[in-house]
Amino acid sequence: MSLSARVTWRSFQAGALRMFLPGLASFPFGIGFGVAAAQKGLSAFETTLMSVTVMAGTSQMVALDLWAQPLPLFALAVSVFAANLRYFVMGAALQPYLPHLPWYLQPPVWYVTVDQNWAVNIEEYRRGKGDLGKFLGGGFMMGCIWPGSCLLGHLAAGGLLSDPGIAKRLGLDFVGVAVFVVVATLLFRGKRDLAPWAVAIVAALASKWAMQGNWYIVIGGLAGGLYGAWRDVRKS
Amino acid sequence: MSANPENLIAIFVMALAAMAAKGGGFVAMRWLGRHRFVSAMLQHAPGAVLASAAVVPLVQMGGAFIAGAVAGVVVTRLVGGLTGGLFAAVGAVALARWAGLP
Repeated sequence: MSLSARVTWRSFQAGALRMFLPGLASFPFGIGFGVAAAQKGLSAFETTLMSVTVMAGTSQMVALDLWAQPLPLFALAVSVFAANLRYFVMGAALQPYLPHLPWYLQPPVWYVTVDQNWAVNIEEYRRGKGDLGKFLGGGFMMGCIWPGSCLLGHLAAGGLLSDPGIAKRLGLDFVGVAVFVVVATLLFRGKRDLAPWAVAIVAALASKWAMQGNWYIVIGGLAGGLYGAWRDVRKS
Repeated sequence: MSANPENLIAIFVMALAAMAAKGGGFVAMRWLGRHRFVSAMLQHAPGAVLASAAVVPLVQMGGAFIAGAVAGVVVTRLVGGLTGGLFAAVGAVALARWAGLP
């Protein structure tokens, strides 16, 4: 089912507001990234600019590992692309709901395709609800919280905020995973999802065991999706 | 406010790479999405991605995270919305840590 590409202020606002809590998932990570960027010698402006323009925490953290003068531009590009491959799968899953999206709205949609925003909105889209305004509004909120937390981390490097123990005691390090768990619960369609999800879980655990990084999301997602498709097509 | 030109170029390259990954799947589906198998796969992909994204940190962290996940699932099933489930999940993790779970 395709959605309207019309964006109203009201839906944008609603999308932004409801993403506040899920957006906090990125707060402890952002603080951690800001501290790490400060230690690598990036200025507060550069740290914030990177977070605004890249807006993908894991790949930014991966890039910091490579950050040494002279900067290896090709290696940076490849590692950022690879670390963000899960967004390739997420974008692919999103496209059927927005098949007639005008070209000028496509880059903003790609830009705001980030974990929590995608998860919350795709759940609604599958139920035939939601709209583009909520997706863009949610992305706007994420685009404020993520760079804001990175900047805070940079400014507070070595101070109170850089203590990951505080966020941990409050359970904030779980917010990101909690979004996945809660949205998966909402998406669950009963018996027909059991086998594909089991395949995804086994593939994700096996790939995490076999290799570093967050490839497990891509591999698990593809394995579960491919199995589910193979089973459905065979049945019909 | 300071910025090294070489750093700015690297940040620009990173931003392009991130957009390529984010937009790549979206653009590719304009053609691939017409196939029956691909559209069936996309029906299953969101749940599979979320299950994969959740299971690894849960297995790695165990303890408090498991308690949080259970609370999140139960409250979401009972209440049916995002916010209640999230608060329950995060609150359960904080409580579990307070009770001494890792």
